[in-house]
Amino acid sequence: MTQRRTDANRINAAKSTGPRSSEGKSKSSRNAIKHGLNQAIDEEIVDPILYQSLINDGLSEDEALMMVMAISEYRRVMEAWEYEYHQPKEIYGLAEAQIIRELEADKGMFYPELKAKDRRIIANFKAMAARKNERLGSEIMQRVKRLGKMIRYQRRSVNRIKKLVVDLQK
Amino acid sequence: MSNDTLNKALQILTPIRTVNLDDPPGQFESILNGLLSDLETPNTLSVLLCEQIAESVYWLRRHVDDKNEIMMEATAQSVKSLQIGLGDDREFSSQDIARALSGDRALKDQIEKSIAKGNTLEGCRSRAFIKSAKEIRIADDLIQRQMLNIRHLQKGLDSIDLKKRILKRMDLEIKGIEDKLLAIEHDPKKD
Repeated sequence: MTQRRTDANRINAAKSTGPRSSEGKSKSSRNAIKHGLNQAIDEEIVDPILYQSLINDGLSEDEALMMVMAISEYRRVMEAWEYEYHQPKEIYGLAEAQIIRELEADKGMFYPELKAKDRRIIANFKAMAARKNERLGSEIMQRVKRLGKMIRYQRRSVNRIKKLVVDLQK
Repeated sequence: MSNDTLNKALQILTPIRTVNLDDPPGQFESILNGLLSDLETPNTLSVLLCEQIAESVYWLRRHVDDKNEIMMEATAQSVKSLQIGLGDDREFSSQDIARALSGDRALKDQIEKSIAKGNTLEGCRSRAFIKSAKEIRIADDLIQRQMLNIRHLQKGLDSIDLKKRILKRMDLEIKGIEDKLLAIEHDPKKD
């Protein structure tokens, strides 16, 4: 490496050394989060009305807090469940298919005539997209596969609620 | 009695409601109201548990429908693959397949005429079952998970206060779903 390159690297390294403000650090600490379903529930965001209702029903402060946190965890999982359930079908090459349609419809007008090589490229792309889309499956198949990955989160949160409720009676 | 209980339970539930499903037919609400009206002495926890049970029942029904739909779609695909080269370009949808399999004799004959000789709709269904076995297994896991959720939440409700009617209602619900599932299971002897 030349001296010039080394100097440039030193200057560039001094420019960015990651987030400095607490807000920036907090933001970047969430960079690796994929769905957040494994994160602990923050005590500060629990529903105060639900918490108070449970206290009014005779639960101790600790019991009520644990219960509200368990319910919040379950709700988080179920909201993600509903979100995944309603996700639209994933289609490979949707944008490219649209471009190809326009290209084929307009050839000879706004676009130049398609050459044999272009037609071959298009045909190959269509065949590949068809194979990939067949592998992706229908909307329901995709939905079932997505939800299948979330079963363990649901199991964990429901078990937690059950254990807390049963322990209340001991 | 049950109307009073329902009103009382809804009064408790309204400010603490946690489930807000995107459910235009109101299926969830009707399940929830049925459960709440069976409560004897509603309190915050029992009302909350009923809400979670109703949600699990709602998802249980949806996943059973999904499993059926996967089977029908795969069967329609199998029928389509046997139509190639026979000059019959009528496409049969998964709804057509469902109708034919549930007893529409004329439609079944029409489908069987359109596919290559020596094949039957039942045969197509068997092939579809094998082809989509992975997705069906996941759908089964989803159904099983909802059943277990109901059981766990029921146990929680049971430990607060024994609600015999709710237990019976849920047992019937699960029994009904199990019967429905058994009815669509693959039977290799039929092939």
